[in-house]
Amino acid sequence: MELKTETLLSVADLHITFKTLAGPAKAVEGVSLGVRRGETVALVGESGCGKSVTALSFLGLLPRAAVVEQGSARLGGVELLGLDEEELRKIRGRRISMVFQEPLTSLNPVFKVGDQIGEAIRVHEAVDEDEIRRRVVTLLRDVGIPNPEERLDDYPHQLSGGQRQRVMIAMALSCNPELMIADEPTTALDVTVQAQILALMRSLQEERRMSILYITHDLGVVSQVAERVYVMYAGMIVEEGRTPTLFEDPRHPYTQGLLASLPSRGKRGRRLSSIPGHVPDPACRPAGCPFHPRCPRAMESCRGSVPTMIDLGDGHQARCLRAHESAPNPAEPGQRPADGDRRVKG
Amino acid sequence: MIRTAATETAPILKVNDLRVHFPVRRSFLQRIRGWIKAVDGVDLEVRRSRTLGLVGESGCGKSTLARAVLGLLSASGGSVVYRGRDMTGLSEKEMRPYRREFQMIFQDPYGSLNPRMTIGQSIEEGLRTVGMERRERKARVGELLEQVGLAAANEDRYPHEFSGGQRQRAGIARALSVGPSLVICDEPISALDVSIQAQIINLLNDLQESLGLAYLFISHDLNVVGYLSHDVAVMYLGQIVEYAPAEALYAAPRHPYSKALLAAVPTIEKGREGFVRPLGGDVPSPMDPPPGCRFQGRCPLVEDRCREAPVTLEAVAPDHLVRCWKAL
Repeated sequence: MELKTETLLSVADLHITFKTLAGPAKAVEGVSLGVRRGETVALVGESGCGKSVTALSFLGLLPRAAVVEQGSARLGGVELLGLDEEELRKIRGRRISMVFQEPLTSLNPVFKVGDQIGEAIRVHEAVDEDEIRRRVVTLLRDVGIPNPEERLDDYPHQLSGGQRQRVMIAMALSCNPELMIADEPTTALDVTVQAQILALMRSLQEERRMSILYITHDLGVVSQVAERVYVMYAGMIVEEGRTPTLFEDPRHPYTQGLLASLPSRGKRGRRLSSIPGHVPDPACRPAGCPFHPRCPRAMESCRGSVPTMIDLGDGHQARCLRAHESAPNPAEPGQRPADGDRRVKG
Repeated sequence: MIRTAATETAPILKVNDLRVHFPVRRSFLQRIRGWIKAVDGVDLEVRRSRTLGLVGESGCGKSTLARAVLGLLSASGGSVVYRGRDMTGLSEKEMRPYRREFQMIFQDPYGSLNPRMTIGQSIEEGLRTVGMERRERKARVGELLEQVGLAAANEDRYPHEFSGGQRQRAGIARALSVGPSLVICDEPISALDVSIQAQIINLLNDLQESLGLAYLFISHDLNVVGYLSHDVAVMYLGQIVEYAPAEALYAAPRHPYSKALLAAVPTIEKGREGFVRPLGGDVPSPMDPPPGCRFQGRCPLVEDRCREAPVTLEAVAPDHLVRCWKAL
């Protein structure tokens, strides 16, 4: 396997604040992450953790109320934050493209899908209409749409949900971007169609050596697509690492809690361990470690200041004062720390 | 109510050959152009303290089935038998005494709680319909809230003041207020954050244990269904294609659709290497389904005979039914 070492996207100390009637709400607090060329990276978190806002900021697509307070996001040496609209337009679609959760809201219902896919090519490249048509047909074939010559003249409502998402992906691929940001691309799809789209994205990425930043809340999906994972909680990256390492040996109590709470047939008869409480409101996040009020392993010092990322080797890092301890395993009582009973009733 | 040993083991709910067909009309003169067979000959049963999981993809008819069981949609054929009494064809008035026996928990509790009523008022409304006196009601509201893991002091708060998980708890308290024996759960955790889902799953399990509830648990999430269910029915285009104890189904699914569905579920145990070649195609429209097996268009094992004659549900083991020649 080739080594993926060249960094394509590098985000450092990103802070984004929303202006609200109740005062400023910190959506993203010091996010740093990197995506290498040809790599699939997942950004995982629950609703409101700031994962989508982080991605939207790279493309200058933040809502008006959001302000990038500080930080940088560089794509192969070019600083993306603070670019004006004209400069951003050269990047969007051509170097970075985005696939959203609900294709029906991202596709224009009154234009034929062929024209919509061709639009990016028309904007970015000086080619004639015949060439555009040829390329659109190839793209539709690449994303697995049968009879692409005929589908070109269809409107979005004539396609099924899975096919619409394929069209979105074709659109995102139209100018051979270096980075594709996929924000919950399969959440609205059925299980068997989700599997088709995930397989498609994997094969496209291998063929094109494109990088993918995959934003999702679904840990099962992450384990199937991503080589590396960033776990986000309350606007911060709390853990990062290679996918197998992170799932086998999670070190942040939030990651541990998420993994332990996933139901499966194999866990039947055992009580699911759940994370007590709920995700804090961005307008009033707790001081210190943002997870401490829900954390079964919290100590007095967790309330004081936000812990730094602790390096655990091989790119595995966790933002926890107790990151050097392994996960408490309820199946083996001997390994459980004294305060490790995680069956807190919600 | 005193229950004899016989009624303990008899099914609480029995659905026989249930059909719900919707006519598709041409706009001019309202002539019937075809039928959408949303539910087409479904049999199932749910017993006390047991959970029947009902899985399938969007459009397979699982929510229509739930509505027909509750009497919210009238059946085109077949029967819904509740504790030995046929519910189909009962008038609204005749139905009323039975309504309290089966309740529903929805995906979005916002839709089932009145935004202008406090949680306490919503729950109390249920108690009033079953004829509980005012003095008792107040105490019972507090008990119900505690039972679903909310402090009794929450009764004066409005639905929008709660988080998603708390709101789902309130929705469950309301469903329990009338003392049901069967609860139909339609995707009850799909709208919740991952860290909250486990709380609600545990709560449903606890309530089943303490109250002996029977659940019909509808979901597209096979991980959740596998965790909660005793038996599982897999639905495809209005029909059950496999019906088995959960243990048997998850260990060795027999119908090609069940196999594909289980293989497509992303799980952490499978990881990046465990990715299998997915099933092709989309779920077809339930309007005028093809003669023969309904799965024929996507089935990797399809043969000529599958296109000709309808396939019936046959037992491959005691309690294990499959609608496929190849599984026999």
